[in-house]
Amino acid sequence: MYNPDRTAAILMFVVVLIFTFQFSDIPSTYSRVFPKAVTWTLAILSAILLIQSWVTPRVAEYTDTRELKKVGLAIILMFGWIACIRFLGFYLASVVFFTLLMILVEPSLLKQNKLMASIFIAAVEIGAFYMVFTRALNVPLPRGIIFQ
Amino acid sequence: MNPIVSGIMQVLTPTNFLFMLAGTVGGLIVGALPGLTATMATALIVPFTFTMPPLSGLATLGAIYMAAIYGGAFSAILVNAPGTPSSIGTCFDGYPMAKQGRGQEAIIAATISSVVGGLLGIIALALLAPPLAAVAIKFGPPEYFWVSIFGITIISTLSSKSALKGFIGGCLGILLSMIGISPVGGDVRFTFGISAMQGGIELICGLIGLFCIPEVLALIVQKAEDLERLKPKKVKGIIGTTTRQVLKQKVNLLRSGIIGTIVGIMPGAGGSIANLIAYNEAKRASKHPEKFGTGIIDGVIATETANNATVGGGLIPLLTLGIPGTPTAAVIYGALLIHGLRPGMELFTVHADITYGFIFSLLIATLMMLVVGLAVGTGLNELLSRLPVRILVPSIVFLSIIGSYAIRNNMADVFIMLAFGAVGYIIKQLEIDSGAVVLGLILGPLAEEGFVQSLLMSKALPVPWTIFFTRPLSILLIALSALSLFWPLISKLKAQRPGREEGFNV
Repeated sequence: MYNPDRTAAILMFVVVLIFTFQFSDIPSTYSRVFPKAVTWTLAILSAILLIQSWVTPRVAEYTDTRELKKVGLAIILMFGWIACIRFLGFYLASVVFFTLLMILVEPSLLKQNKLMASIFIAAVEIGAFYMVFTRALNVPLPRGIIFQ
Repeated sequence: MNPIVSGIMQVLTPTNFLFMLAGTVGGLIVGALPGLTATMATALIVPFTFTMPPLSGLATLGAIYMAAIYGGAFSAILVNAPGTPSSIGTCFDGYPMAKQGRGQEAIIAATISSVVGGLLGIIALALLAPPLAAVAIKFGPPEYFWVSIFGITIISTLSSKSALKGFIGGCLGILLSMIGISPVGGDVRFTFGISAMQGGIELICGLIGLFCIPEVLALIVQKAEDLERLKPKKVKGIIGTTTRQVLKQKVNLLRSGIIGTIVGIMPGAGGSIANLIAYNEAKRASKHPEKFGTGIIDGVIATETANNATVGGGLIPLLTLGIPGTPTAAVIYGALLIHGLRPGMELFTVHADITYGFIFSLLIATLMMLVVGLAVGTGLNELLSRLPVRILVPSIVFLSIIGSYAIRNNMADVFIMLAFGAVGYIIKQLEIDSGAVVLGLILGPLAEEGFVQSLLMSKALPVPWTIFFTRPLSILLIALSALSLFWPLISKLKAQRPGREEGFNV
């Protein structure tokens, strides 16, 4: 169990600190005045929230560990997807990570020998969007070093 | 040629009709899928509109917006899971109707009501937007500063659970909007030494990250039983009977349409609030309020008329003042900027043909929604309800990546979008409304520009700070901001007055 108000207040203090440390790098007063006012407002509001978290404490249940693991894995896969585009190229990286996300949502795909079908679905869907964007709409898509 | 006629003529091309039809079908699909919102649909489609002429792009987005709000009724009625937050109230009577085997009747009622609501909102948009734009031209930097403060105060209504956390989210959004080059001083700020951050946070990337990724993560952990669906039954001749039944309820339609339009005009409110207020008022005005919640068509009519009326209403402050009335209007704001269109008087003078063309396109999209909704909507819903989550999840991520890259052809934007997604998930766990962060992201630059430019203007005055408090329009905006800030408190006090306890609380 955790106190969402206290956690939010502490996190916001971290944000305030991060922004405050960078004020010295801004030479012009006119570029500094408004962010300073907002940072101070955020600090005051966070302080009120912190006090409130002690005066009227609230608790929230932690998300189920398995769910949390799934969420963490999904975020890692998403970042991995973008990072791999540079090396594998947009189409190949997308097919790989699209399939991996499908497996994450439904792990039984591996057990039921539906992996090839999943790869096929991913390849067709991404191929269709790839063609629509690059050919029909002339919207450029990310490119990789090895493949496009 | 008259700009209104010119705008209408520009819309009436086969290409635009195709775009609007695709937008209507696409919006309906997204709206019908629980977890996918109208905001997400428009945010994902914005990159598709880059290469289109401005009017075609806006017409497509408008069609998606209108249809997605309506599409939310499908899953609300059939699965008891509102496809969009705007259809929460539709569950109250729509789902009981479906359980009684009257799902099709409820869907038809929702379709007709959505069309009527949409039309009422568009009429208000066409009539009220130009005079409001004429007022907007009188605005100087202090007024723009106060307008943005007024927009930010809406957070107190938006974040119903905790206004304090809402304002914290708003401040966070404003701070994030300041990353990059400052609008007045021209200095590079808060880039953490990363050169890719000098361009600042692209609004659409922030919106995609904050709205889509947390929903995707929620879908990943969703349990299979939550996705259980009901199959609609088919009855012959039901379209005519239900249409007549809906159109008989003129007062309910008009009242709900007006509520939707007014709530839509108020920045930050939107369909999610309008449908509940309309349901509440329909119940209070009904001769048989006890039947509400048991599967009565009046409830579906009220909620669906109101939520579609917010579309036109929500675009009024966006087109005239640059303040989005709803989160989806915020995405359309981004699309307007991408096409070089700045909200305000300029939209009704320099770009009047595009603006009136856009309003007219909404009218066509609403009528298309009627045809699409009645002809293929029911069948489409059955097909969609079978779309597995395992395909839905990676598809949304894939579109999010394309969407955020295509804006500036910059991979840094994609990373920023994902980072915003992770932040969105964390703040959701901490019960901070991501809508408040988005409001801060949008209004931050406007507030800063107004604030700093006012300071520069005030250098000639004996007491510089008085510039913020002495101009008539500024005083009016300060009063409105104060009213908006304390409105939840005022309504709470009003509700506690003797004789008001019996009101239905939603």
